[in-house]
Amino acid sequence: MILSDREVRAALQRRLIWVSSCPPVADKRWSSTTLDLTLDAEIRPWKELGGSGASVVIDPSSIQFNSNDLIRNQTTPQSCAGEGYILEPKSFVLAWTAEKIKLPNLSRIGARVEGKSSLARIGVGIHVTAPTIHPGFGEKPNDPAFERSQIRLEIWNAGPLRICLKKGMSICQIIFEEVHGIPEGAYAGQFAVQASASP
Amino acid sequence: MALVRCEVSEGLRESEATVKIATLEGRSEYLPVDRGMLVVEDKADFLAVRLLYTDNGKNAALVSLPVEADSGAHRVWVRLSELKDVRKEQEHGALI
Repeated sequence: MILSDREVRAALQRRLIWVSSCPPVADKRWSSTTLDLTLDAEIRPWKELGGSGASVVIDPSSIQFNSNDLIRNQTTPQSCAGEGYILEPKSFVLAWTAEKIKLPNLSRIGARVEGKSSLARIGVGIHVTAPTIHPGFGEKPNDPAFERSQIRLEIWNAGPLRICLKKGMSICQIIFEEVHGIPEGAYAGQFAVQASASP
Repeated sequence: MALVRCEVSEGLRESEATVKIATLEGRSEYLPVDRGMLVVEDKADFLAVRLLYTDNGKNAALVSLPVEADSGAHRVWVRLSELKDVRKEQEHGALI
């Protein structure tokens, strides 16, 4: 079940979920069931692997596959603060939300980040089929002081237009959903349940 | 919750690290995490994870990772010797 804006605010007040820099009720970033999140300054555009025309194959099933190493080697951080960053047609960049989120496992609330219609109309998507934020995201168990986590976005431009991305713009929307039941391992005191380690 | 031993390397941003965890099967799991999820004790790095099951017969534990690993795994078996500081979770309320 998707939470309404009122339920989301109730959950925020009761600290069942955390969103840093959450806007007030009257802010245009709220809708009946969603809250807009904004773009942080750092953008990481991908280089063309191996140069133009080269065919480099990435094997994500490899035991040694380390996406952060690949991203660090094949992207260069840029900023979209100030004048903004131009997202060229058919290009793909990594970025982050400015807001940090925490969804404690025992709150039984998960979430999805989705694109905004206004950006979709001009060809901009904000994730590549991985919108789910699982319960437990941004939570450090037994450390309520932990500061929460930003959401990494995979932004692509499917259209023919050059799009300016700017720090602080509404870039995506988050939808909170109730989880039916408490996820495995979240019950206090049941951490020693026996199970087989056989594959 | 529990802490699982890990190797830490640079992340994409100052607030982020890349973590490598050794699984029971001898595989390495790589995942990007917030540095706040890490704990340093006795000069060793540990990642906060959720403990799901233990198999004392095999000296193994199934833990839930804070984010999906590069292999696609959300849960992995690790050796019990890789874990420390196993504690009960604090209770939260529920919204509904």
